[in-house]
Amino acid sequence: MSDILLEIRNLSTYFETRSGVVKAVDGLDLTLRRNHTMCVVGESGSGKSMTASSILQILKRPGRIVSGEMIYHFRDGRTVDIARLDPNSKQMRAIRGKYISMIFQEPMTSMSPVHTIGSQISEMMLVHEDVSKAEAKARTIELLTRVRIPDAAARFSSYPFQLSGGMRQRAMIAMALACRPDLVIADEPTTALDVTTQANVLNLMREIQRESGISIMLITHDLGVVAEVADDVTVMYLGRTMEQANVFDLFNAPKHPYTRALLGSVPRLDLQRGERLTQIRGMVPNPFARPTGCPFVTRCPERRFGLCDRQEPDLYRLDGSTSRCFQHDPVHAAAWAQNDEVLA
Amino acid sequence: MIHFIAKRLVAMVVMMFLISVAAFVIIQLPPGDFLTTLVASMQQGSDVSQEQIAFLTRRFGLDQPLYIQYWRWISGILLEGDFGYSFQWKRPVAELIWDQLGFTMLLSLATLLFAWAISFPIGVYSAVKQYSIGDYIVTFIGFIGLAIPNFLLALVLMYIGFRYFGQSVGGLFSPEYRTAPWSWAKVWDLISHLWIPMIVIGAARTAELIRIMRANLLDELNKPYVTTARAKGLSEVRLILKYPIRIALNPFVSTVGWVLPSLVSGAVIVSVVLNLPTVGPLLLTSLQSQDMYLAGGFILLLSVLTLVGTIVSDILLAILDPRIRLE
Ligand SMILES: Nc1ncnc2c1ncn2[C@@H]1O[C@H](COP(=O)(O)OP(=O)(O)OP(=O)(O)O)[C@@H](O)[C@H]1O
Ligand SMILES: [Mg+2]
Repeated sequence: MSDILLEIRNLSTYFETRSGVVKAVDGLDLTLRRNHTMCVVGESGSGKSMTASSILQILKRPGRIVSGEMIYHFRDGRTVDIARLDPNSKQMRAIRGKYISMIFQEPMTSMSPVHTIGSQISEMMLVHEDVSKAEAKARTIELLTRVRIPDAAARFSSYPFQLSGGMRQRAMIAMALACRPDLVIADEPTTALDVTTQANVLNLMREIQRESGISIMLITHDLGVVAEVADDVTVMYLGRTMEQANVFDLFNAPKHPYTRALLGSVPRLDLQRGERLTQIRGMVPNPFARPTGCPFVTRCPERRFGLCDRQEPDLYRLDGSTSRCFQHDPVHAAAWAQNDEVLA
Repeated sequence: MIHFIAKRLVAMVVMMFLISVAAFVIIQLPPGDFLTTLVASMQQGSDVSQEQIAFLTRRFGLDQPLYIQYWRWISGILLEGDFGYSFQWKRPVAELIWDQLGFTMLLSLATLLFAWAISFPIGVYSAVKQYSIGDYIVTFIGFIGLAIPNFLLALVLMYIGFRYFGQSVGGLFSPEYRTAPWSWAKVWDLISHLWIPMIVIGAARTAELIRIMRANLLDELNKPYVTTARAKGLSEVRLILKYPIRIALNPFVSTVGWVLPSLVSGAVIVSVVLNLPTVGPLLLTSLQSQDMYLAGGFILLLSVLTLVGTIVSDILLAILDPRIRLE
């Protein structure tokens, strides 16, 4: 069994709108390891949610995967390129929920208000597995117990609006786990919750991850959460991977200027949960006015004019991590060696 | 649920009482009263006898204060099903009403079912295929349906029915069946007459329902729970049927409540043009001629039916939507 679960290479997802093309995801690289937690961070609009939607091919129109590959490794060694599947195909539907499932940000609106949580959870099993309704119900109640919903048997027939926010998110987690998937994508799963509930929900996810060996892709703005739960981290900007590293390297020795900017001047591992990304000077460029050269060039404190605003850096492989900055290119590294070079 | 229904029923009884008072006030409003009209018509040589006047005066307490008159009137209706006497038609009001009301209800129901059957699939189609050519065509036809005046549509359809289908037009029956006893042939005759008024009265409603269904479903299709259902691996057809349509159905169900009053008020002209034996024209003439018990009986019954319709739609909504049921 491969250690790699999902390899995303050069993925691009565009929205062709009337006012122009929005490159929501633009040449993204990301590797998810089996049984590990990957946190995806980046400012608002950097394409984190669209990456998640692309993986499940549940993009809203006019969103469309235009290029790239997403190689998914099944347990039995088979692989499939998800990017090549038709969103409406049977194969794609068979992957959704069964192999890759999703936890959404707003459990209230992400569940049907007129169906019981029990029916919404067991539906997942009924769609993907050959089980009877009674079996599905029994397993659902088991799951609800597992995510620590008190009085699970009674809650089976509750409606979402009858539960508290934390309970609803637990039910959502139970739903994501219903078919024992290999990958659970969670898009800011705790943003809608209060701080204590956030902690409980995160602990629950961590525990389940450890017990059942699933991989989690966690999208978050909260660096405290990253420090606490991540094994690997991907830093995104304007739809691209700027840096991917394991969590220790990322906090101790951030490679990319954007990562450094996100972490603030002093990188720390002792960040508390709730601490937000530091404000970076300037604004995220308008999606229609992407800079030439490095995407971050308009705001980078370490940029070198003549280089960074002319050419786009590759994603350079360093030991164990990757970074998209000319600093790591042996050809250009010299430009950063001399400190007396004019900083812009 | 039982609690919910009980609450609604209590409210309904209270409302009915208020409506009966209102209906009574309305029939008392016009200047002059029943007696004077009667006496006046006697002088014109009508065949109402002195005894009859005396009987009616006693029966309805016309020489008594208003609240006693109200009591006589309402208790007659509630206890004996006696709605009073129509001066104009010289028949008990109850007879007149049941005749016309039966057809009105039949036509209302047929129209409602017609409007539902047409607008539901079309509304769903044009929402799911938003901005497709089909959607544009449907929307265009819908606007025409809304814009054409009913009576014009009635005349056009009558012409078509007469010219191309050789139908006797107007009314709900061909002349030979009008007074004939009920038979399958008569039922068929009724059905073949029903389609014109059904389309005429239902056209605007159908167009409106299509727009409601389309707008509602479009709203629902963009809700996060639909994305969740998609992320579960449900097929598109299955998930649309199960989730957004289920929720977009609510406005449909609520139309049960308002179909009756709108049929009576909105379809009077159509009924006149099509010569339909519905309550619209009868109510109109009874109001014009101050036929007070007839008018009062109509107003009362229509209000009650509206109320019943509202309650039925409330209960249906509660069955559909747990947020209402479990409030
Ligand atoms: N339906 C759409 N039409 C056009 N552009 C879209 C659409 N949906 C998203 N986008 C664009 O795609 C880009 C990436 O959006 P995405 O939601 O993935 O950002 P994000 O990183 O999840 O941000 P946040 O942290 O705020 O959730 C944004 O520029 C956004 O404007
Ligand atoms: Mg997002």
